[in-house]
Amino acid sequence: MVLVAALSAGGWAADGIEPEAGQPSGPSYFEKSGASSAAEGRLARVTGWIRERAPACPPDAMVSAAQKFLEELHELHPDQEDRLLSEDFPARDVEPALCRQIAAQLKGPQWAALREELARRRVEGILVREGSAGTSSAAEAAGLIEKIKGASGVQFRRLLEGRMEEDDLARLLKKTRAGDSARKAPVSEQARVLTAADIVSEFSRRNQNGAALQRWRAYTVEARLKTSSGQEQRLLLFRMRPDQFRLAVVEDGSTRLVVAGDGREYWQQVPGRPPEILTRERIGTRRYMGEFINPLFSEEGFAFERLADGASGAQKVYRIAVRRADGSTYVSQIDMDGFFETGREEGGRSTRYSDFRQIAGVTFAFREEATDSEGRKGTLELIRVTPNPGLIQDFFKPEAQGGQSYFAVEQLMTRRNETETK
Amino acid sequence: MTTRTPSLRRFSGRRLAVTAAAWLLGLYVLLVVVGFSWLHHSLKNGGIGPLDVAFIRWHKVRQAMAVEQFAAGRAAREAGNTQAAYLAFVSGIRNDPDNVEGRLDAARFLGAAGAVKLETNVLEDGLRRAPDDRRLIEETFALLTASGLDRHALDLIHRQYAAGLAGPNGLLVRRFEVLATLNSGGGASAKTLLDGYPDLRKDEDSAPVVARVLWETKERLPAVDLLSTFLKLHDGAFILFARLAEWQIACGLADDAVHTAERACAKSPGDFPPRVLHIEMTAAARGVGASPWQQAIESYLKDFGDRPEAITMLAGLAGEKGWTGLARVLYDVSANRQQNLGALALAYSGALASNAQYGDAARVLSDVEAQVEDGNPALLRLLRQRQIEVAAARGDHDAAREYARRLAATLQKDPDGMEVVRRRFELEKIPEAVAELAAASGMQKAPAAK
Repeated sequence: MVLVAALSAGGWAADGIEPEAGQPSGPSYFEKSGASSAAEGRLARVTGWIRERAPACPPDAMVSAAQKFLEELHELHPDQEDRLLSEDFPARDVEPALCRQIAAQLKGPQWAALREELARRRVEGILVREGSAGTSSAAEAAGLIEKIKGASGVQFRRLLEGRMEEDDLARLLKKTRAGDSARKAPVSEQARVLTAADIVSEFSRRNQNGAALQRWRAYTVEARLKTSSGQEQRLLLFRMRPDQFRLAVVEDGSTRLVVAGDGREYWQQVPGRPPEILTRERIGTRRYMGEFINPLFSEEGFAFERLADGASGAQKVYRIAVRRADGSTYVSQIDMDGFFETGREEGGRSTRYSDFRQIAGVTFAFREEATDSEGRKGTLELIRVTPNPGLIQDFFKPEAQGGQSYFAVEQLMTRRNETETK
Repeated sequence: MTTRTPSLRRFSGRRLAVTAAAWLLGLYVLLVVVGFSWLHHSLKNGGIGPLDVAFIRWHKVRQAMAVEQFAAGRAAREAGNTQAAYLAFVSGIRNDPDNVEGRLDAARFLGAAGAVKLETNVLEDGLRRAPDDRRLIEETFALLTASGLDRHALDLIHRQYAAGLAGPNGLLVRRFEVLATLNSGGGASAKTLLDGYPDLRKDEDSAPVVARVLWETKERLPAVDLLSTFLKLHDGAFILFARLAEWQIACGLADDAVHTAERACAKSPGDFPPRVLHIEMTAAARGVGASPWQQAIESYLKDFGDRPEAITMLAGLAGEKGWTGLARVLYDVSANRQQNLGALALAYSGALASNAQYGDAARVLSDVEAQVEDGNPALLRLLRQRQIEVAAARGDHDAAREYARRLAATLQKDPDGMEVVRRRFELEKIPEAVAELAAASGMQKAPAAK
């Protein structure tokens, strides 16, 4: 959360925004791949691989899995698709994707054992491809699957049912292994000198249950902001992967301001006016509200550097410089005992975090106190965090002109409450 | 050493018997007192008398206990304590399965809690015990025909009432027979059946069913007239007003449709479904975006804006009718007020799909899919249905088949639900989904048959 800090920054401007292109409808694999005889050959080859790996798989499921696999290959690696029929094609490289597609076709409890075997092969394939497998990669894969099963039933099921994508699985494996190595040497953390990567990894492990964050696709934060002037506002922050955000500032039941963006384009709207597009410069540091979750959870696109340790009252803290892809930096303070992020220092402002609570397996600070360079203070108290509420991408785009106005509709919906209160 | 005489032994034996009898009597009285106190004071069964306990009238005791349990169930239901209400109602039925009033209350409670399968079981079990109870007949078959279980309703009618179709409840049973035949076999079969029951046409209470048969067999204006007359004379349910308004619009009687919707609103001024009907009919009669339509929506939002279920219902209408702007703004505003936006997102995707923006609709559905929990089967089911429809509309038959497979997996423990959805896709002409669901349904039946 960088809400208080973001809200206390200033500067707003307008800029152009390109219209959203609709998704084209998808032609079938044969249509996409041109020559149908070559496509049939590829289909036959992939079906053959599937038969080798899962001879018990029903024929229609084999064909469906092969088609899905080829479609995915066409989308993601068209270069490999051309080489598929050659003898030197590295089938082992595509083993994880193939196993995933087979598993996705197998429904029902009778396939539980086969799906587990496919999941093991898939994990093993990823370990081998990353070069991180030991001498006994099969046993290592089986062990990792057991750990995933123990840590999160949902992730385990997603893995078995082929619903977990390649990147997600690689990230999950990385975290599972990182957690493993951290558990192996708990006493050495204080004794040996921890690097920034060690601290960040430990933060990520301690502030979530297993790989709980993997399940978070979007979330809503409802909070109460008290400014230094004593003004009180209700804030609603909506976030969706990878970097979409929308902030609504509500006063007396009515929205006063909406600010939103999707990592490329930003806009704001106030009552009685159409949405206004904002340039990157004018949105300023508010764009960091698009960071889906605390960067210390080892999300991509950040660099970490350990600085001299500090103290926050009696509590000793690690200080980690977090550098974003755009070059901006802030310093994160992580307490040495609990590995909570207890503070941040950024551009003359400082923020203190407290009241840590776990929501759906992920730790959030329910209280933030920010102090700006002139000593003014603001407090933010979280009321509720709702994971996966059903957010959609269009919600982060400005409403079309000529439609029913958000503010007008909200006013109508609020009117009855006001009348009743009077 | 003395020897006891026979008379002394007799005396001693009699005394022993009297003492034993007195002890037994005392024990019995004690047990009766304890039993009565426990039932009367601890279990608060005021209907049980000491004599019921003394003479061990178990049946009466259990009946009295059931009365108390049904009352407790109603109280818990009113207080919103679902778990306590469920336990009390189930115990009541177990203690007195012949208490029809209590059973009907229990069934209504289960239905309101979304446990339609349990509700059906409770009603059907009651019907087996009291096949001539008119209230049970009415509620059971009304539920079956409203839940898409028409073939099951017909089986039950033919099995249980084959000989009684001419009896005192014959008219009522035949009405449901025609209705279930209409729902499952279409207008022609129902018309043939109805022709064999001339008294049903004259029966006032059967007018809504007869009107539906007329409508389905293309006798549209007579159907409208019959239902309209029925609603003028009787206090009909909202669904009948909705049906009449829909028929009037289809017959080009737009002003009449608006008037029907207004009557429904006047009948239940505090309810929002009639107001949604009014908005729908105003749009059909006066045009979308026209002033009366805007006013109807504004007035609805003012009156029901603080009720999430009312907003979701309006969004559902917007989705169905393709009012993308309204569906989107309702989603946006509700995001500030509701924690679960899945249903509103589905409504928005419906609006996009109604305007042939299938790519955009599919993207919205993907977003919802990534966030829906396995523990929310109702939303998951709606999501899969919509995904199948959008994929079929885009011509992506493989995707439609795949989503149908996933839908079948979601419905694997609900064969009735699977059948309802399969029939829906039959009507929508999505053969790949019909085939997948039929195959899944067949796989379920095969182990059951074994």
